[in-house]
Amino acid sequence: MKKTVLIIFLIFVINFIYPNQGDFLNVLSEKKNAAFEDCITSFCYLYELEVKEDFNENIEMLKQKIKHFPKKYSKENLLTIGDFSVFAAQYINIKSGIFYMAGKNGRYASRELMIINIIPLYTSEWNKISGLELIRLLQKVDDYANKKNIQ
Amino acid sequence: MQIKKIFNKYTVILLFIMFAAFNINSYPFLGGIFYTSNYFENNRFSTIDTVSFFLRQNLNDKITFYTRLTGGLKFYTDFIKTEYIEAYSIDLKNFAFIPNIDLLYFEFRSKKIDRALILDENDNIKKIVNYDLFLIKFGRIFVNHSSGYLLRMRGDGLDTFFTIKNFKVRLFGFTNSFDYMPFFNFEDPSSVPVFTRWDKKRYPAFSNRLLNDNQDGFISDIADSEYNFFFKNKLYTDYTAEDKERLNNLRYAAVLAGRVFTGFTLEFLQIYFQNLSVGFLANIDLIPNDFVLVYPSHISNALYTFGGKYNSFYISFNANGKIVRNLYYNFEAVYQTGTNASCVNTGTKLYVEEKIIQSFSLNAKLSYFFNHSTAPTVHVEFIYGHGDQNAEFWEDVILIRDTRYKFDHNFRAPVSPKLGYALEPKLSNLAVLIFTNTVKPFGFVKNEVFSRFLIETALLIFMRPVIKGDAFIPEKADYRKGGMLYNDPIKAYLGTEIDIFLKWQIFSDLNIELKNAVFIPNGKIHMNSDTENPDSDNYTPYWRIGLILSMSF
Repeated sequence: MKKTVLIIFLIFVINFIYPNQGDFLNVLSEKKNAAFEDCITSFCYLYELEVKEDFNENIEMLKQKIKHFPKKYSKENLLTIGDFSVFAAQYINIKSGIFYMAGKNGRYASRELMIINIIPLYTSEWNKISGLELIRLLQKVDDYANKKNIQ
Repeated sequence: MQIKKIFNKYTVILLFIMFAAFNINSYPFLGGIFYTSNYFENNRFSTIDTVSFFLRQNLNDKITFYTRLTGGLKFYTDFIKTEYIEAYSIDLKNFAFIPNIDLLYFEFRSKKIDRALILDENDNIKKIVNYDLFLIKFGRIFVNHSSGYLLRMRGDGLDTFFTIKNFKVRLFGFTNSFDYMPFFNFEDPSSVPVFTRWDKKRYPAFSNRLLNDNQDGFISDIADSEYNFFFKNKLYTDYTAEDKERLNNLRYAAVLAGRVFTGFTLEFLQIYFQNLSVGFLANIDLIPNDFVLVYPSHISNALYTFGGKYNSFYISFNANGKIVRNLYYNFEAVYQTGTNASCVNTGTKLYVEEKIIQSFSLNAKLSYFFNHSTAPTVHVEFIYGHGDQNAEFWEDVILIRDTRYKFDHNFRAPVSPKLGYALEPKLSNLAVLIFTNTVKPFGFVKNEVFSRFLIETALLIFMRPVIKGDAFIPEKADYRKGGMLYNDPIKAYLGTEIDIFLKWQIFSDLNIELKNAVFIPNGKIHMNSDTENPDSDNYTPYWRIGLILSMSF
């Protein structure tokens, strides 16, 4: 309950400062399952890129910042912990985990995020993420990046 | 009517499991661990290599299923290296296969642990943990009782606790009867813990395959002096054919007679940075009474019995917490009682006599954590397990075979605290002073990989509190000179161990450890207790070098 109140408060603050991001977050917070497109848009915002209407354009922009993408993805796919972790691990520049370094895939990216307490322990990489959960995770990723002076 | 009742009961359980399974609202968490431990000792090389797979499935917010399966191999070889000979022993006995269900349990919890950071009245960040929680685990579980100092083992049963604010109550009960691991152990079918030889030998292990013509006993060879039959000696004659048949039939089910461990803990958590707890632990031996004595015609082999029957009860008190900033302590005191039934051979009569156990142990530790980028820590620890001057240690078994003594004052817990790396002795008639320090020498380096490198050094001083009693070094303090029996107080000191461990977490999922340990025995203690020359220096240091690697995937 406390967490939900905190996230709503965050959305309110962001909405006030960045109106476009605020609209996006408002819609996102009400989604039962976040879509892959939401993840792309979120990371465009985190990288402070100009978010476009077209999904493919956003992908192309993000590819300039992020090297590795999940193997199979589409706009409408429901977002999984694994897919989110692929982007988050690259955003915070993780260089640990022999299996993560070898494959840069969602499974081992999510393990790395568990070690630094961004994702709760024992969360499956196949788990779907709700809109609110995605906002909460993005907040944690951003906090971690600020703490480590990344980006 | 009876069948109907059972059917109803199992139907309810089945429906419940099905209901839980259909409510799965998340995907399983799958993973694995590869572990290899390889070490050289004075005359032996050993290796343990295992791969474990685990699955954790949240069936819903309150029910979790967890299982871990392990497969692997244990192997050792003794080597004798002299000027002329270089020999290695390799036999089936040197192998042990490890197919096992390590853990398999369901966990029910009333709610998730709720943690929050808030500001207190002085604007300091305070971590609030909601301890109001109920949790129960059942199946093949791992139980850690009394900080792991008394009990730290796997078994089949249940473990539950509930907390109300800072007060926590924990209850558990489980058996090791269904742990079939030693069945595959060619090397030594030892099970943990070991109170009597029955704990080791109850399994129909392949390593006991040396059956000669006479197979009408338990699972051993009547001519083999290593261990024998254990038929009850009522009439001081050998058994009739009917008795043999009855006892041989009993042996098939008797392998299931392991031990039951049950107990509780009452804990007061985080009261002014202090945790206090009292606990009770019962260890109940399930060996059938019929198996406690030796086969009558082999009375001379009484020593080679299963070592009797060992029931023990422990009452423990633990306190740990913060003294001042960076300085922490841990204190534990345990009182042990129960019965230790040993085989007694008077020469004309063979019987089992129960000795009353009265013993205690203490553990006190101080730890200081320095504020430095290299994260140095210093620990001083004293561990004490009481002994008995009339006891004999024989293959980990405590025997008091003299009928004049009614008590057993040796301390013996289901597991022993880790005492060094070279010999890892059990805490019984032992006082150990341990100085440990750890440091991350490259902690100041910006590179995270090197900053995780850790060096741990330890100095362990082993002493024997009851000087006339057996300790892990079997030689007693008594010695003979010119036919007279002497006692040398310096022999209370058993030896010193020096450990140097290099630990490196190279990646988040790859650990490597190089462990070096040497135990230097007291030069006054002789490897040959019959020596006529107490000043001879016939002892050798005992060393162990191990390389351990673990990788999670």
